[in-house]
Amino acid sequence: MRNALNRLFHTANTVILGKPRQIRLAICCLLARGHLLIEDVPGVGKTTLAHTLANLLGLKYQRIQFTSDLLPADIVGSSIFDGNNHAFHFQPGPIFHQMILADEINRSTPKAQSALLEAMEEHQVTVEGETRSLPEPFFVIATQNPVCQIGTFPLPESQLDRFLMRISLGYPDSRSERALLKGEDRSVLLEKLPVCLQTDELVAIQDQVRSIHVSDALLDYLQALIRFGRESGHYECGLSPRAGLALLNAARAWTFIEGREAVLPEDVQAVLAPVCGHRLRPVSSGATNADVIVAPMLEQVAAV
Amino acid sequence: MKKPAATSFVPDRTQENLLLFSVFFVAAPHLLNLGWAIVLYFSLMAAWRFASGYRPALLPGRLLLFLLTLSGAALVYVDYHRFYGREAGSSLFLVGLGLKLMEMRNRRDVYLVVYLAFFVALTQYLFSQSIALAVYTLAAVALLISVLIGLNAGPVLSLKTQFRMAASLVAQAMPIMVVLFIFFPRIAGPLWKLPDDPSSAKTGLSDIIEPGSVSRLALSREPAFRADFEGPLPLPAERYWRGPVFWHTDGRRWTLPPEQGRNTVQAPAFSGPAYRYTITLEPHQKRWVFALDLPKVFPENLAQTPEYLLLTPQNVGERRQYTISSYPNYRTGELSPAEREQGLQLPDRPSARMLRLVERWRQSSSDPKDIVNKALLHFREEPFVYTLNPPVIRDKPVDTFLFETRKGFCEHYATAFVYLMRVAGIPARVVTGYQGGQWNPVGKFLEVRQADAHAWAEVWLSEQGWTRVDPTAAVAPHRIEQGIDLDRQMADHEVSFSPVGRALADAAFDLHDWYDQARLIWASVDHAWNQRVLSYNPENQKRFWEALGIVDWRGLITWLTALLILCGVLVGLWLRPRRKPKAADPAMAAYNRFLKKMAKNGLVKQTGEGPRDFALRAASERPEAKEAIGAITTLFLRIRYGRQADPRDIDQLRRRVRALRV
Repeated sequence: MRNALNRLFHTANTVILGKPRQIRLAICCLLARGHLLIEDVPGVGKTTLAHTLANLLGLKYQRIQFTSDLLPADIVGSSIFDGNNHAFHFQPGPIFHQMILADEINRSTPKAQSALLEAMEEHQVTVEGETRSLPEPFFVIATQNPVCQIGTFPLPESQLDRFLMRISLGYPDSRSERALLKGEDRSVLLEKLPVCLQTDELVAIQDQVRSIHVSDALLDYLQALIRFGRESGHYECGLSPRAGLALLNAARAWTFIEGREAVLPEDVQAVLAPVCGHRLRPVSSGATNADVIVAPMLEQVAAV
Repeated sequence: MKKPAATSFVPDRTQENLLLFSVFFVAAPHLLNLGWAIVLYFSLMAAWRFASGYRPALLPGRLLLFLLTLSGAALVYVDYHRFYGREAGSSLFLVGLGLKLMEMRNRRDVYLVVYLAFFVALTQYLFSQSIALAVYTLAAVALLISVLIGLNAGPVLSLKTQFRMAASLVAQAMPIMVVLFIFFPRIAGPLWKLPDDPSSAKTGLSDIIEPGSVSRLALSREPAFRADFEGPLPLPAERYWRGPVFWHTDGRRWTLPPEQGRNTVQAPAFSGPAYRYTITLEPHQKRWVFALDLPKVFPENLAQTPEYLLLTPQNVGERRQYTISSYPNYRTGELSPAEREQGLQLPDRPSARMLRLVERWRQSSSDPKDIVNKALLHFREEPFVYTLNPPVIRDKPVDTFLFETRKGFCEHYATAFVYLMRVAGIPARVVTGYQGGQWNPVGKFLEVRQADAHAWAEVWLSEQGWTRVDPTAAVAPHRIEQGIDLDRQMADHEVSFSPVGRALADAAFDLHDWYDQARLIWASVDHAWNQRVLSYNPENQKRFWEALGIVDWRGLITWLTALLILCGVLVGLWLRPRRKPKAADPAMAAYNRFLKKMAKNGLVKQTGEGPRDFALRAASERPEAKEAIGAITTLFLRIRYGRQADPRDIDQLRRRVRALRV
């Protein structure tokens, strides 16, 4: 299983070049059963990353392009009248897949956004009074353009909170970019990708992640971080209990990826920026870079 | 753990704007000191930099920068015709600061700008040493420090935190400043010898009298000196502060006698009560020390002229203090033939109507005393007007004033009176100085301002010797009893007399006007500042040290050491760890010992650094101890974060920490 995980990283790195940290974080998010938000300018490989992960994990994959006229029914599906049986027949929407790529989520209206976000939280959708479960595992990767761009509906804080992590890919360095320009077409590459991790293996890993040991000393550190977020005065509002749980789960998954049995402060630090960056708003500067936002937390909270 | 890269020299727009604001704030007081063109030039540079923060293309290129530099230097030269000296030097600094803003490209340039700004703040003390400036400079220093903090901390701090940190740094520096101020050996004289700037002449009495020489002071609020009395105050009408005495006139101007070949001083016979007081003299770039008529006891370093004026060895270029005793009742001795000749000197033949006037007085009585009274009566009964704006008289000023215009300020009355006395054959001379003074009930001292400048006459009478006669008192008795009301005078340029002055003069303090009260309080604070801080010269320092029991350098060292220890203890108490990391956990205790050992070798674990990250860093810096560090950290992590601790692990951890050699 460890080998399968390593192969997964290795193969993903051959498709998305020069972004090992982001790939690691994306898979960490998946293993912690969280949803991922990728915020970046168009064309840096957000969709490719989602597609790669889906193919490598052998998950049923569907992409939903969010536009301003997208309606909730376009996501969850609707009942269609069947002439033969003289009855309404539910036609499932694209949400009934194991991995959803919600592309440019902040281009659609809050109404359509909320349909997706409900499904993310509950792992089920209710259509016309009937509740339908979503397949397991269920993983949403949403991408969004930087908020300052024209024609966007920024996700409110309460909905940002549903995403376990927010990462951004950024431009590749020049060596990776050269390799990208020289290399094979990505769409061809994607189709040839082998399945590295079977679905049952993935679920097994997710269960193992849950059983990673967390000591009281580590919880002390985690709580000190949360307290700092609330009391230091650096941030407009502190971290919610949900954020604390998210941080713990992400740290566990990271520990698993690192191949250790107990969570260390360093594991928490590794996932702090992607987990808390979108949940905190600094008081003074308008910094949006997650590393910058959590820097005071990392530097000033004693980690032992 | 990753730190945000600090490549750009100013972390963000806020920091750059803070820098520009601080620099501008620091330079602002120079608006009072330097030519407006220089300040405008500087403001233009700052505004330019501000604008180019939003549009970097606006920054000047090399050629333009060169031209700007030339024009800045030219501006200084046009204003002051040189590059050294107080004004020109300070201007040059300000221009340099403005130009440096233009070529602020990397971190080093920003530091340079900040240090230049500190220096510009310092140059302001060459112009003024007031409390207001001191407080302002403290604020400026705090601002500049907050800029430095922002520069070093990166964008992680909020502006508020930056200001708070800077303010606390300045507050912590204050006690050290006070200790250094008190104990650092003072240097006699000003710290910097500056070339005398002709443009920076102080206001004050001048060494010639001509129409307008006293009245030009009448609107000046500047203090001339302040006097602290031991015992009762003299009556307002007795407050004549003696300044230079004039004998010789060319009909228009009165000039001082030459210094050389003067007669020796004839000690007058003093009687009656004495007033003992301490004068705090403002710098006026002359040697005169003003004393109440007539001084008897004065410090040894002062000399006295035959006219009883006190002189310092050198021009008074900084604030000085003298303790003097004066007797209002005195009788001077005989007049020497030379003095009589000087006292009767006339530049030309008096006009016919003047001779007629004097002849009429002389016919009614031959007693000089009666003639003096007749002359005073003349001034009182004829329609003479006391005004700040007398008409300009081209020739025969005395004659025209006496018989035609009849409008004048005290110097007109004093000179005309002396002229008439000399025509009548009575030796007379003009005395200038100050008359009056305002009692400050808050600080309990008498403040004499430039507006109190006055001129009066002295005639020689055989039974009394030199006798003071003030013709102004005959024309405008209020001038003598109440002083000039500056506030009203400013408004309408006419002489008004202040009722407040009288109330104060009687020491019956009943002020309803809060403005006057505020002014009095401010004057007394200023006086205390002058006496305690600005006059802290080598002698005062020595006196203060002696009061503390410091008589030699050994005592000084004892005091300094004691103070340093006290400061150290206080700072130590303040900085002591509020919450010691609790080490009830034996593994934690062992690990803390490990950290201490590492810290002794210069490897300090940062607050936010995890044990594993620290071990990696330490191992890469001390490869020889890599194995031990790794083992200790693994054990510690296993005990602290692991699922179940092996009881043997803790013993092993302790052993390894004890065995560690780095």
